[in-house]
Amino acid sequence: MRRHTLYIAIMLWLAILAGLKFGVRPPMPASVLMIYMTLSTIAIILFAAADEARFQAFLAPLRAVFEGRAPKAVQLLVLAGIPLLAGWGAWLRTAPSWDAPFEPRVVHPEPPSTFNFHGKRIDTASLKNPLRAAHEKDPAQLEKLTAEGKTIYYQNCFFCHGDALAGDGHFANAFSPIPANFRDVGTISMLQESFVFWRVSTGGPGLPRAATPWLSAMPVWQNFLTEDEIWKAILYIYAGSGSTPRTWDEETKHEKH
Amino acid sequence: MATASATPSAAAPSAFAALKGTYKGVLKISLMLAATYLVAQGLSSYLPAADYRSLFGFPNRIAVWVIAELHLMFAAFVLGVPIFAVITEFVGVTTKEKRYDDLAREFTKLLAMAYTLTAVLGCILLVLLIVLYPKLTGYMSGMFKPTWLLYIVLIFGEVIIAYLYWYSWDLLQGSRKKWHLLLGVLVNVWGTALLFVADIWVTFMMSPAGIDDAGNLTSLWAAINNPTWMPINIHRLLANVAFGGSIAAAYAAVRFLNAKTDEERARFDWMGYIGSFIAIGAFIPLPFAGYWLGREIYQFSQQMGVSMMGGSFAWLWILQAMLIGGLFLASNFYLWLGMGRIPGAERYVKFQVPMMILLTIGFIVWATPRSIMASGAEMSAMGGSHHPFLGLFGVMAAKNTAVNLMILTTFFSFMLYRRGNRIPTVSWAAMGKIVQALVIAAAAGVVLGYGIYSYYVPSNIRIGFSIYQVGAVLSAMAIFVAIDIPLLRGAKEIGAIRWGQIPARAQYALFFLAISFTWLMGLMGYIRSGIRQYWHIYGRVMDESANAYTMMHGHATIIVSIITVIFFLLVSVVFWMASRNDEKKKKKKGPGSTFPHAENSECHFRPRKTRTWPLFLFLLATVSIYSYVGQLVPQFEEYPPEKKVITVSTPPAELAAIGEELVRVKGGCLICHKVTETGNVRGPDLRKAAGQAATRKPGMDAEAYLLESITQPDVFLVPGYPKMMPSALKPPANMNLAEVKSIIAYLQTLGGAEVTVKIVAEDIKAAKASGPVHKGKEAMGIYGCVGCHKIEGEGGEVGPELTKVGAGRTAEEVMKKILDPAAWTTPNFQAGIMPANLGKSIPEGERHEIVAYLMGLSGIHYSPTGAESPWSHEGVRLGLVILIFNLGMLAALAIAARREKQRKAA
Repeated sequence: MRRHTLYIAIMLWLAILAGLKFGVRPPMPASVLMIYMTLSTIAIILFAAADEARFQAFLAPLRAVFEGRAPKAVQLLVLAGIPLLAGWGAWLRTAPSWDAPFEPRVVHPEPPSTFNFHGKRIDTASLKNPLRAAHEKDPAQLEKLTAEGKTIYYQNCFFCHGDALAGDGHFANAFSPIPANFRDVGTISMLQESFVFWRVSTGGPGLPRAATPWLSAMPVWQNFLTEDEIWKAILYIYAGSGSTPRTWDEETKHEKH
Repeated sequence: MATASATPSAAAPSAFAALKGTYKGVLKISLMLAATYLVAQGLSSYLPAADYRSLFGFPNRIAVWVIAELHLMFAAFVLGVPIFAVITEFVGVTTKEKRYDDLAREFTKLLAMAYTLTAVLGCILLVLLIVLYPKLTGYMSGMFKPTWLLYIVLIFGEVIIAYLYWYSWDLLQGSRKKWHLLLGVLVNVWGTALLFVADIWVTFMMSPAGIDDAGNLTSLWAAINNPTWMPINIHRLLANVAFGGSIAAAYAAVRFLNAKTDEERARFDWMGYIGSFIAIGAFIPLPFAGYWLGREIYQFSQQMGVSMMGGSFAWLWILQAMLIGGLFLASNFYLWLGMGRIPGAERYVKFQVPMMILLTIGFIVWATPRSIMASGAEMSAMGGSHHPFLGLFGVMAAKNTAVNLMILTTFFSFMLYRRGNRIPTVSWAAMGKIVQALVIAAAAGVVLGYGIYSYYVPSNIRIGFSIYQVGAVLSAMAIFVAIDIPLLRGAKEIGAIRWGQIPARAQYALFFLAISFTWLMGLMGYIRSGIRQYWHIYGRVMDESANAYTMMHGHATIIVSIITVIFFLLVSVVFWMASRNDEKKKKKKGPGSTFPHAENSECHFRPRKTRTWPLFLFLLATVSIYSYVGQLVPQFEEYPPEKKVITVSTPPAELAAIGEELVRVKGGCLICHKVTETGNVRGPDLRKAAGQAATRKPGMDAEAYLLESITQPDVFLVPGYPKMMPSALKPPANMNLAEVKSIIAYLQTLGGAEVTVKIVAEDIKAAKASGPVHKGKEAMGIYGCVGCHKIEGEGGEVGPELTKVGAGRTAEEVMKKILDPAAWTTPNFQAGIMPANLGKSIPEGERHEIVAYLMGLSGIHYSPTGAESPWSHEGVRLGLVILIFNLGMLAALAIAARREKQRKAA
């Protein structure tokens, strides 16, 4: 067993590569695969080196090759194999491809400190959903407003964001990337309502450069909806997707209990 | 510098020697402060007055960055080391083992010179701030003056106590040891206070509090206790210990690799182990402290929080994840290798496989980016910009789970290491081990369970889970140790630890820990400071220099690497001097105490000739890899928002927004008018202006009336208001027609009406570039002084003309009158017209500019960079206090010298 340490390590490495490449669906992007494989490589080598006996066993076949004790065929294979592998790597990196270039896209772009809404300057930091604030203690009224929001959603947003608010509307597949899935825990439930209001009001063109505004087909909804209508729609997307907006006040309260 | 570290035992221990050594420290710091003051004042008055300056064309931001970071690293070292030096000393006292006392002294020895270097770097930083950022520094130091004075007092206290601690080591032995321990504790109390004070300024710039809209201080305590102050204090305190431990371990590693004897190797092997133990011990709670800080940042400003974790800076967190994961791997690697020198530890080798798997999976989850880099094809395959499955790893819940499990694993490694050569003999040993295993399993279960459950609950509940996870891990560790101590009491020892018999690569692991800690500090410091983006003081004082942009991540990581390399070069100078003194001492006294070691048994270690160059290459390789990863993430520069330019096609909404900005800032309209319920009523309410405009003057439409009332305010006066408004086309407002029209657009939206005003080409042509205007003159326009006072033929006549005010009044008087208009009244003018708070609402820097401008009109020079001329009273006063203090210490020294002589004579 011990004298096969190096081979076990190589097999393990190949198994991890195969598992990550073919075992994950949808396939993970190359950049992530690269991170995972780098970490796996480091982990395997460190593990081999963490015990003196194990490390010597790990090195033994390599020593045999580089000190000329291994069979000629094996030496030839390794010494020819290394430059060939390096060459293959270089070719993979430089060969022309038809793929679109990488789009470094941040998922949660930072909102500006202020933005224009119907000519009014809105301060993002202090922005709160006025409807939620006004009717916090009146669930019936809030429910009515949410229902109105649902109508607005179906008249405007539904086509892309879908019936189940899962980003799978009729037009969804025409876009790349596809519209946001509100049921995903990583989307609206991570954000305050003010963020959502900014995204809806200013749409794709309102995104900062880091968030590749040219990659969003979201219209500038303030040109089509009133402030109230947008807030109502926001009430609905939270209620409809079963999530709650992120608020810091509640957390502080939560902790104090 | 070298003299400072002269070993205390070189001379016979005496109070005089201790006092002399301490005074050297005081003298050094006094001279340094004096030099700083002179250089800063000299350069400030020599260089032209400006908001920003640069030295020899070198980018001022990078200069301040490099020096500040180096200063911080040395400060972290000198604040961190005493914490564990005194703990080690205490352990030495309780266990009565001399090697602990020697180790504590070895740690402290590194301090003396590091103090000097910290102070030198701090002084350079201060000079750079005063010279390169005069306006900001003036504003900050004016506001925080009490804390500056406190800081200086603390520095002197710290120097005295720390040097006394070092120089009195031999003096205070035996029955007097408790006094030495007390000194050690005091060093830490002062050091911590020093850190807390320095953090005030840093955190205020991130999360300003205690100031009003105009930037005036309303509550010093609120400004000090701003939202991020405490989290940073705690975070830095822990990080200092971890950092100090890792640097001490790296020192031991270098000494180990260069050791000539088995004894030396054994000693430094042990020191490296203790150093790494401290580093990792302090490192374990760090993620939690960091998490608290992150929360406070989010709570203070969602925008800042999002740009830190989700926006442009998110990419740097991949690097952070890599570094932290690397630290976990390296520390486990070191422990496992160390078990090779513990007889009996081979029993635990079998645990390495599951531990490595756990660490790797944890690392993988920890390093999974939230924003994934993907090509178009990959993105459509994933169905969005995040992966449906891997996306789950990108969020905080997964990261918390991963890091908690990694902490638990590392803790377990430590415990196995501890048990390495021991077999418990207590009767309940088997039971105890089962309980320990159950406790670890339960904690892992809680961490995993809450980790998974948190995907099913809203974020405000989810965030509370991290507390349960941390709680589970911390209590599991506490219970484990509580069982372990009695469990191993009187345990059978299989064999003694063979100190010194560890492969060289384990020392490289220690060195890697130190490099990574240093680099991590550089990176996280950059992120913390960088998320302020184009603000000096977030949301309040904007960076208006050419360096206000956020640089590309690749550039930033290269600078972090350069800082790291410089730091290690400087540190190696300190270490080299420390070891040189060691050799001198040895020659003088012969070898000191010996460390238990095995003679030349089957040692893995094969000494080579030089082991310093490979270490340096290792340093360069490590930082290069980090910077290389910094180049792989997306690169973009982010610029401050552009100043808006009015064109004929500017949409009405934007025009109104520009107008609003003009009314607030450049026009200074709100000094007399109001646009909200609260406001000034010297002029008519602007909310009604547009609505009433059509009916004000018969035969004139609303737009024409508004235009006339702004550009020729004296033609028609609204009944009940005096003739006092200057034309907007003239100073102080000095606007062009396009700007006036955008104000009309704003007034129309303010009245709730449609924007009808149109910009035509001629309006824009009228905008002419004006030459450089004195900042004071500009400030007088902005703050509306010119509305009432006439200067150089322009301005109102409500108050006295100020063109020649410098001829009759001193600069101090002018300043006093600005701050307190009721101080006196010029003859022939009515008292109480000038608003009492007007002057106070002008930021301090601009107030000085105004005085400088007014005095300059009469040919009198007044330096606007704070009130300090080279010989200002304050600096001299402080210098005098320090001088008297020095004289006092000299007197004490003289008395001690006499006593010493008498003692010797006797």
